[in-house]
Amino acid sequence: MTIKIEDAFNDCFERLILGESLDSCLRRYPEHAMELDLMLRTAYDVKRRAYPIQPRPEFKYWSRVRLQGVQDYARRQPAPGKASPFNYRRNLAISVAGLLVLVIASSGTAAASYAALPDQPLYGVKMAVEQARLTLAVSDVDKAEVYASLAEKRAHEIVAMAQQGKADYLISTSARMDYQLEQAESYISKYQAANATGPATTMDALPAGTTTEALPAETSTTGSTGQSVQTVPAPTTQVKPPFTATDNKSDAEQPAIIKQQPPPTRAAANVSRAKTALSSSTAKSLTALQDALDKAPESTRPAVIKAIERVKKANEWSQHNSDEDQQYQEDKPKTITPKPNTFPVKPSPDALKPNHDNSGNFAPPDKPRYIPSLNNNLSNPATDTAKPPVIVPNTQIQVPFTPTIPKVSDNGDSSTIKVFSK
Amino acid sequence: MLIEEQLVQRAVNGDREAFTKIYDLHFDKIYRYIYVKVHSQAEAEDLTQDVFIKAYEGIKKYKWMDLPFTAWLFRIARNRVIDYIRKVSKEKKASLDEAGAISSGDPVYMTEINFEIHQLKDALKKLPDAQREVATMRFISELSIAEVALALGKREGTVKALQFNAIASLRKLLYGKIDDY
Repeated sequence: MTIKIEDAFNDCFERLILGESLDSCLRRYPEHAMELDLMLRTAYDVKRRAYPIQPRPEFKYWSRVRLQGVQDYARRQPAPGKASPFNYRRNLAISVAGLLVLVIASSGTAAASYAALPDQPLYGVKMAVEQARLTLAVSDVDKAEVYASLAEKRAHEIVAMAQQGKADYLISTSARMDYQLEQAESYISKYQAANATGPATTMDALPAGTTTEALPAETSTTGSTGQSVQTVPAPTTQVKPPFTATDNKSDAEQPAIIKQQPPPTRAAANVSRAKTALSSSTAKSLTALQDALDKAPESTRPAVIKAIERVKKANEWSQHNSDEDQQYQEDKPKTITPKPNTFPVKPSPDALKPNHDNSGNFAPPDKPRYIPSLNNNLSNPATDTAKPPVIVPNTQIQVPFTPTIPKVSDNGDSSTIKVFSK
Repeated sequence: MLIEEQLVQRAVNGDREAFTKIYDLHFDKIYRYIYVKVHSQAEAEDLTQDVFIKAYEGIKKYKWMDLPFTAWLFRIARNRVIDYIRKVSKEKKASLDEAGAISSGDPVYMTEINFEIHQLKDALKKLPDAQREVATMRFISELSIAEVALALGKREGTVKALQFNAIASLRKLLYGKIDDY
């Protein structure tokens, strides 16, 4: 019974992958040997050419982080069509989280996990407790404060990982810190934007329900009741005052609507409190990171430097914005909507050059597969002392090798080809 | 495969860690599959990420009995690439072919590697669709014949024939002639 050449080719190709020699394969199909030899060499060459096509390790890493973010985000979303005015899901989540915190906190595990580092088994418990804290933080300011505190913890973990020379954990911890700082800033900005009204004195001075004429600059306002209201400086922002006067003359002077929002003085205090928390935590982080930099092994120094730069930036941001608060919103603050708890900002590739062997949540780039050279006698990867080349876009080649093109018109010499899979 | 099946089952039940392992297992294969079909590294990266996000979104509805996971994942990748190519051709996007995406290291060596990748991509483009799909999945993403057959919805015998014809065509395209035998 004659075997079709495509079946013989497939059989030989599978055998080569498993480590059988080309000669041995060809002997199985003497009637197709010559043609199979050429085709198998071509298939082999295609595989060899395709080998350098590898994803950049940093892309693979960040893609995984993003995917985990998507998973986190998806888990937190309420099921569609289940929305309730009482938001019972959220309330339930908060209750459960609160219960969880109590239960965990009352056990020794939480206490033990408090100081857990990213390479330790209890780190997962620590993350869970932190997540519960975040769930319990209801307002934007509370969330900002929690994120600032968590970022400080990450900084201390970075210090520990750097001192132990664990570059792989440094990357994931730095990414978490970066994200938490970003969230802290975003929630503060969001809160500021939501409470961006005129100067505090204006609104404090106006009793609720009082109607006024449209507020010209530096003018006296008169209530509809005829009562004189104190003279106030006109707000320099373009934001509408919380309530406006109307005498039905124009669209601009519609009936007053009193917005239900915290008094501006309280808002300012809240913003100030959150920024102080961020400023204080980043200052402490900076000190710890700068101390660690001198003691850190060479391999971890770049990551520590990047972490310092990031913390410094957050610290400056909180300081800078605190100064602005003194003027109380000369300009309307930028609206920065906090992203869902998902995508950390990608740091520069230099910062996170993945010369690491991650584990845990952030697994390492795959080990380079063995690429056999195209010389006729190939060594076994298990015994080959030469490291296979790792070739990925934008990264350094570790071990150069010279590819050789297989013989095109070989008439069945006694060469041996072994193709090894992963 | 049993381990993968268990992993997939855990992922279907919402186990994040299991899905991350699946991601690690298949990421490079999917990336290589996409890379040889699109113009640039950036496009390949975007599409690869899309594939895994789509896989995550759809995994709850996935059933092993209907289709092995690898085949299911490559179907997603294939559909995503088809959509993308269709969109790009509609927009008549300028070709940004950068087979030379590998940009650092020894320049002589990199030039040689990039040239070979460019040649390979070029040759693959010239194959009939069915041969190209089979060659890409089989020799570049290293799927088994059974997986390729299931991913493409073809019989294994057909895939073997396509595979052989694809290699014969690639030989001609890469080396300039068909040898006399």
